[in-house]
Amino acid sequence: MRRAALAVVLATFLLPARADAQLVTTGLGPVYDGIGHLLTTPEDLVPALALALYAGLRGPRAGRRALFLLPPAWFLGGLVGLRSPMTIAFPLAAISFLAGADSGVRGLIGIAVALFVVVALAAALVVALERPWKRIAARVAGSWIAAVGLLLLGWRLRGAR
Amino acid sequence: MRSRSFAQAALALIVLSLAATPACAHVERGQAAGFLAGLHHPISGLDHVLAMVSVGLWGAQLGPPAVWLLPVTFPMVMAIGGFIGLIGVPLPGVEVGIALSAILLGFVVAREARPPLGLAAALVGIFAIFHGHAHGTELPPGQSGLTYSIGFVIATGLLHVTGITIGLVHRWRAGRIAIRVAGGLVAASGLVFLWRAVA
Repeated sequence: MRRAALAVVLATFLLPARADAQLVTTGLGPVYDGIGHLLTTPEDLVPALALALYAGLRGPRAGRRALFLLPPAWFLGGLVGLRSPMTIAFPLAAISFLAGADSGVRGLIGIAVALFVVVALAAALVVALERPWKRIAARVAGSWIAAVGLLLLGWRLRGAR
Repeated sequence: MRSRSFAQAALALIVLSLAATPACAHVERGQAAGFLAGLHHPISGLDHVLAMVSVGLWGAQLGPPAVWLLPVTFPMVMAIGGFIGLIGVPLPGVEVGIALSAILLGFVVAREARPPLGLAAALVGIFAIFHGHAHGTELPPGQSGLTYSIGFVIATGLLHVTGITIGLVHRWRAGRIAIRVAGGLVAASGLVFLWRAVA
């Protein structure tokens, strides 16, 4: 079961996608643009929340790992996106919007910082859940996110036809 | 004193009125429109609403773990149906399937049927495909796909939650009877939907 789930995740990450996301302009500089981008772009925010929920459900240790691994991994993916307008992965594709931008690395730093905060809050919230029905609610939220992802895949395939 | 306060308030109102700027409000566009459209879509048809609320009612009757397993099954399998619809795979008899879902789900609620959990999930899942396919083929063009999907799934889930919340009355005898009567009404409504689908 876990191997099948891992295969699905890897397949999703290896889907080719065009890097055509747009940078949010806050007027406060590239770091804030990056922060704003993550918080206002569901394509980035929803997978991040899903990963944080999952990490939180797996316990404090998994939550800490996600907290300190996900933002650097996201940052590295963004650096890959800076090198090429075509990238290999979603959500890496979504954050490679900085290709060609003047202040790409600083924007990526903003994204990583915002991601750190989002993962910290969401994972900590789930880790702290004690009542069984609250943990079930977190799992139900995860299933809804999976349903959204499946519908989004359908949208993408319909658009590709 | 009072008249002076009134005069000051009137003066302030006049000044504010004269300083008013044109109202540049407009309809929602982009992601907001997609989310709202998705949120609205599942509640725009009574057949969908009744079926999804019935899933919550049935879950409340069955108790744990069905009370959360069924509302997880329905959106997940509905998304598969939506996916099939989105990529253009036809599914015959969608409207009939939706009407049958209202009939059968209403019937099991009215009977307070207690099949094995797997069978209950399979029944809910089969009908979810029809609902999802209908939504998938009816998705409006030009909307943000992701935000539409988010709104769509949230609305579906909240309809289940509504059913579960109503089902809290199951702990009382009168509540149990009321739920079963509601199930009968849903089944009767399903017959009307079926008549419309085949007529």
